Order: sequence, then C-alpha cells, then structure tokens
Amino acid sequence: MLGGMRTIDSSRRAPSPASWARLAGAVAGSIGILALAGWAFDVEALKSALPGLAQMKPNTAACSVLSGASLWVLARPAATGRAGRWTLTMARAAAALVALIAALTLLEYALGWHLGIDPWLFRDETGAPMTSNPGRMAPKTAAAFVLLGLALSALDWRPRPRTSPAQWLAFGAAGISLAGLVGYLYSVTALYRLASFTGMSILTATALFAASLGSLAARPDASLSRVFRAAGPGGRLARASLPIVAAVTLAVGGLRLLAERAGHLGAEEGVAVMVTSVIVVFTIVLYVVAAMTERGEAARREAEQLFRSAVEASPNGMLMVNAAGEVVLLNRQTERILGYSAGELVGRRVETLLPGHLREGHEALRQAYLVDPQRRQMGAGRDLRARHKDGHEVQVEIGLSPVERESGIHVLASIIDITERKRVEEDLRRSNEELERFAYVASHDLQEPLRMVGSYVQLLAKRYRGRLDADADEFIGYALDGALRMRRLIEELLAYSRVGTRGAALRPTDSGEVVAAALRSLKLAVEEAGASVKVGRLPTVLADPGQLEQVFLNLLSNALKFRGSEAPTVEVTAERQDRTWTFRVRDDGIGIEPEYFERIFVIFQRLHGRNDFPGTGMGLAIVKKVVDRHGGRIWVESAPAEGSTFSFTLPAVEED
Amino acid sequence: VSIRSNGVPIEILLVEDNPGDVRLTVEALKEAKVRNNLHVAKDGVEAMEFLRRAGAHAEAPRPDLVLLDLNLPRKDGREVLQEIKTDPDLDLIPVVVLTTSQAEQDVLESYQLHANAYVTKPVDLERFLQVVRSIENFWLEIVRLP
Repeated sequence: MLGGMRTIDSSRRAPSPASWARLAGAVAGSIGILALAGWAFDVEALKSALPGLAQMKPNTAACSVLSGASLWVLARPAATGRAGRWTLTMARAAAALVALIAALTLLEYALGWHLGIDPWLFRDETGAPMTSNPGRMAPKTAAAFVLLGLALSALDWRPRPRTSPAQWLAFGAAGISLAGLVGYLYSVTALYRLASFTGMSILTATALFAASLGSLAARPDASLSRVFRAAGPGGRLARASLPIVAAVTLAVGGLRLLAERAGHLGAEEGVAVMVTSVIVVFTIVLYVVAAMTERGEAARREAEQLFRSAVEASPNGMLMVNAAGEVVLLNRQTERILGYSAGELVGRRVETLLPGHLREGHEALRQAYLVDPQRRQMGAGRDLRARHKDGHEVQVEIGLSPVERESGIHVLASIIDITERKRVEEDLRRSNEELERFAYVASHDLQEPLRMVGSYVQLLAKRYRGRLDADADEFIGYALDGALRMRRLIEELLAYSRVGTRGAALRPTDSGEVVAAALRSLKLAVEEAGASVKVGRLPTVLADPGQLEQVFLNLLSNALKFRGSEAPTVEVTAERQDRTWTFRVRDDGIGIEPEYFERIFVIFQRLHGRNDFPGTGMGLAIVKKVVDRHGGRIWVESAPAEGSTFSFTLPAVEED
Repeated sequence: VSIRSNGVPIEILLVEDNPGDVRLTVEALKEAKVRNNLHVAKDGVEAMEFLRRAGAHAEAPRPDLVLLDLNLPRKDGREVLQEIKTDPDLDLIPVVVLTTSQAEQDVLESYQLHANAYVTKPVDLERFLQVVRSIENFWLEIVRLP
C-alpha cells in the first residue's frame, strides 16, 4: 500500500451510488403508490400514517410516484439505442410534469385560482386535518417538488464540467423535506406547515427526503456529491463529520425542547444551553475528526514521500505516465538516461521519448495496455529503443507496472539503459570470433613448417638410428617427441576453432549409435586398460553427430586415461528432465580436486605432468565448446580417488 | 593385374614448390612397390606447360597421375585443377590434391572443383609413407576401371 496509491483490486466493491439512488427512488415511489391506494380505498392510515396528521394529498402521491420512477430510470441510464433514449426522455418528462404540477399548485395558492387540478384524481372531503384547500398539495410540498422535479429533469445538465445545478436543486428539496421531518420529530408544526395552509404529511416529507438524497447520489461525479465522495482529506472530513453533526444537532435540540416543555428550562436558558453545548460538542467532534484526518493525511504524505524516495533511489530509471500518456514523475536515473530534466518532461507526452518511427503506433499500444494492465516486460523480447534529448537512440529494457492513484490509473515504467551491456556483448562476440580465426590461421600455417621438422626427424630416426652414437639417438628421440606433441596440439587447436565455424546443423541423433562409434575408435585403449564399459539406454537428441562423437571420444578416453591402479569401470547413462537429457560418463579413476572443477574446461589447462598422463589440455575445452554450441551445460562431480562423473545436457527431440 | 606393375614405370607429376615435400615424396616413392618416374613442377604455370608439352617440356610424357599441392606460386592449385578438369585432353588424368589441413579441403570443396581424391599431408613420416602407398593403390584401382 502506498498511501494514495493502491495496486488495483477489483474484488472489494461497496454498493454503488447508483444502487442507493435506485433504492431511494423505490422508497419514494412505494410511499406514493400506497397513498394512492389509501385514496382509492379510503384507508386513512395510508394517507396520513397516523390519525390526525396531515394527509399525503392525491397529487402529492402522484408526484411522489413519478419522481420515484424517474429517479429509478435516471440512476442507471445503461440502456442505449432507440429504446434506451426513449426511456430516458420519458423519465425526464415525468420529472418535468412533477415540477409543472407543483408550480401550478403554488400559483393557485399565490393567486387564489382554481385550476381544477386538485380534485383531478380523487375528491377530498372538507374537514381533513390541517387542510386549507381540500385535495390540494401543501405549499411546502409544492415548493419541494418544484425543486426536485427540476433537479431530476436537469440531472445531466452541466453548464461547466462537473458543475451540476441539479445537485443544488435537490439539495434545496432535501432541506425543505428535512425541516418537515424534524418538525414531526420535535412536534413543531411550523416546520411542516406554512401558516394556516395545508401541512406537509410525514409520508410526503419521507418520500421527498429520500428522492432528494437519491438525486444527489445518482450523479456522484458532480458538484456536491463529488466533494463528499472525494478520496482526499476534504472528502474524508466531510464524510466523517456529516452524520455526527446531524445526530448531535438533532439530539441537543430535542433534549432542549424536552427540557423546556417540562418546565426545567426557560427560553433564554434553552438558547444559551443549546448554543454552548453545540459549540462544545462540535469542537470535540471537529478535533477528533480533524486529528484522524490529519494522521491519515500525514501517513499518506509519508507514503507518498517514501514512494518518491524509493523511485529516486532506484538504480533503474523510473517514469510514471498517466492514462492520457503524460509524464507525471521521473527520477534522476531517467534524466541521466534520456538527457531531459524532470521540468522539461513532466506534462509532456511519453511519445516524445520514442524514436520518430515508433511514435505513431505507440498510443494504440498504450491504450491496449490499459485495457488489461499487468506487471510485465515491454516489447516481448524485441530490441527497445528510446530517443535521447540530443536525438541519438538508447537501447533500453522496460518493465511496466500499473499503479492506481487518486487521479486514476498510472503506469510506472522501469527503464534500464542496456547500451553498454549490448556493446560489451558485441565486443565479446567479436573478440571470440577473432580468437577463433586466429587459432584457425595460426594452427593452419604452423602445420607446414612442423611437417618438415617432424618428417625429417623421423626420416633421420628411421635411417640412422644406431648408426650414429647414443647421444644422437637420444637427441633425435627428444626432437621427435616434441614434433609429435606439437602436431597433436595444433590438430586439437584446429578442432577447437572449428567447433563454432564448421559445425553441422543440429538434427535428431541416436546418441547410442554415437557412443558405439566412439567406443569402436577407442577399442584399443579399452583393451589396453582392461576396462569394462557399461552403456545404458541412450536417447535420440538434437545434436551434430560428428561433434557429439568428439564429446564422447574425449570423455571416454579421459575416463580410460585417468584410471587408478585397478581395471577401470566406465558407465554411460542418460536421464530426462523436461525438455533436456542429462548424459553422465562415470568412472572410478583417480578423481579431481574440487578446486579444479572449473579449470579443467579451460583451454590448455592440465592437471598432471605429461609423463603421468599425456595430453594437450584441449580435450575438455573442445567438449565444453561443443556442449555450449548445443545450448547445453557441462559440469563435473568428483573426489580424489573416488572417480569422476562428467554430466552434460542436450535438448531432447520433441515427440510430437 | 596391371600390365604396368611388372613392366613399364608409371609417370607421376608432382606439382609442389616446397623442396622439403618434394624430397620427402621422392624418398617415399623409393620404397614403393610400383616402378615410377617422378616429375616435379615447381609452380602452376610450369605444371600446365608440362601437361601441354609446351616450352621446355615438349618431350614430357603424359602423366598417369598428378599430385597437386594447393599453395603454389604464379598459378595456384585451384586454377591448375580447374584447367585440367576443363581441358578435354587432360580431364581424364587422375588428380590427387594434397592439402595442408582438413580445413583447406573444406574450402576447396566449397569451390565445387572435382579432384579425384584429397589427401591431407600428414605430419609424421609413417603416415606419409602410408599415404604414398594408398596413392599407389588408388592408382591401381583407377587403371583397373574398365
């Protein structure tokens, strides 16, 4: 959790404001329908709740039903198409009709007219409680319905973005109906009845209050509702205070009234006590709520600060972009990689940072990412390039993570400059190639003079051994030995350099046959060592058969060569793991000290004097190079006097 | 088998500029079972003159076998091979190409020139003698062909 930033979690969802609005519409509508039923079947309780209270007049009940239905539809205008538009129009028309009926009623009161709208639905006999004009909507009710009707019919009117007059109209209607409710609660007639005119029914006050709050909730992104719903400290303060303020005021007022009516308090005392207690209680409430908000806000600021320092301290470049593709945050590493200062970049579109030919398609990619934002690498293995301020392209690797902030979803990009890494890789590749070329040319050109030396020393030995003196024979012997050793070295150097350049394509190869061929070449060595060689079931793998034979030749001849005093046992086995086969060549020979496990695979590294074990130190280097070329891995497990196991992996042939 | 194995010596043209290799070939052929006359050309130009009996080689015999080194001055072995194999008078003469390494043979094969055989010059004498013997056998195989 990062204070104002949350990773996205769609699992917890409170009932949406639209659901509350619909519930309010249902309440208002139901009250209206029950009242109409009361009029139809003359059930007094449905008209006025309790005997002796003001009635919900027929027009009032009708307006309540219309407002409730209108609110129900407008709360969630999901329907599109012709039918959807028609339903919306009907809902607005119903609201307008409510405002019209209520306005005409007010005109009747003001000008003393009789427009014939009062007895339109049901006749109201004279003598009903708190009724100045039989069947006519109460003036306070009419005023509230004018406001509510206008609010509902203009629910989506926005003279300026996020400014909604409907919210203020609904707020007014809520105020009038709340006064009515409080009047009934405190038994203060003036609050629901204007002078001696008809009074507002408690049913009407309830329906109006519900419908007004519902209208506010129906458009949660506008004016009043937006402030109360805001995630920031203001919104939190408003949400925390409102219920406490309402409850405390109601309770203090009620207590004062009770005390006054019982004769414990005079009017002046009552005002003084109420003002004092309201101030005291509000101070405490404000203190508690503000302190809580401040603590939350401090924690949020600290988290934000922590987030910024984490971004700043990251060894990678970090860049945050909002849903519109504008840069909102970047760290110093990003400034270094791209050459822009934060001031130059914040507010600009992220496409600024792309090479020209990539800009056009990027916006679509960005939108696609926002449809299903997941933490992932960008570019799926392609080479990514960013454009430095001075115009040159920088090779980069980019990881993307979605981050939800108060201002909506953002994307945090982690940028690594890989220009240097790519350059080093390229240098290494080139230097390897050059080394291979050098080894090839050197070994090739060395052969010519070596042949001369070797052949003529041999000719000397063949024709003159025993015909010169003993010293001459010995000298010839050393010269011959040197020439032969150099020949092997050069041959193997050549073989080593040819692994990469002259290899055949990898193809399904029966490794059992390859091992058999290697053992045929080693027949003499096997017999000489008195070795027993066991070969397990060997698979078909993806390999260059010639090179694979070199691998087995080298490993097997090593196993025979580095034997102990007893006749050696050599084992060749293979085992499958997922998509690779691991081959093992195990011997019970002299073994290797662990400190040499890496060195033995390096070119020209020898562990033994050449009198003990002849060799060039090239064999395992060639083996490793072949295994590398096949995308495999080679390693050794061994202990002195306990034998060695050389293992290497090769890709399996997919069966299907 | 062959009429020549017990009578007329076979004529061998060795195209080789390295005197060490020439001498070695001479020494090896001394031990050969088949009687032979070894002729030596020191470069590609001289080899073609010998084969076409041009200039000083007007009296040269037609060789029964050419041993051709690749790295030659003036005209190198690849060109000599090309000329022999595209000359209708010469294209039936068997040519054994002597290469310094297996790698050189790879390169040559990539040129799609058709030598009758490739032999890598061995570094040790015993193997060289074997090569000469195998060339002998090879030649005997050739003349046995109908």
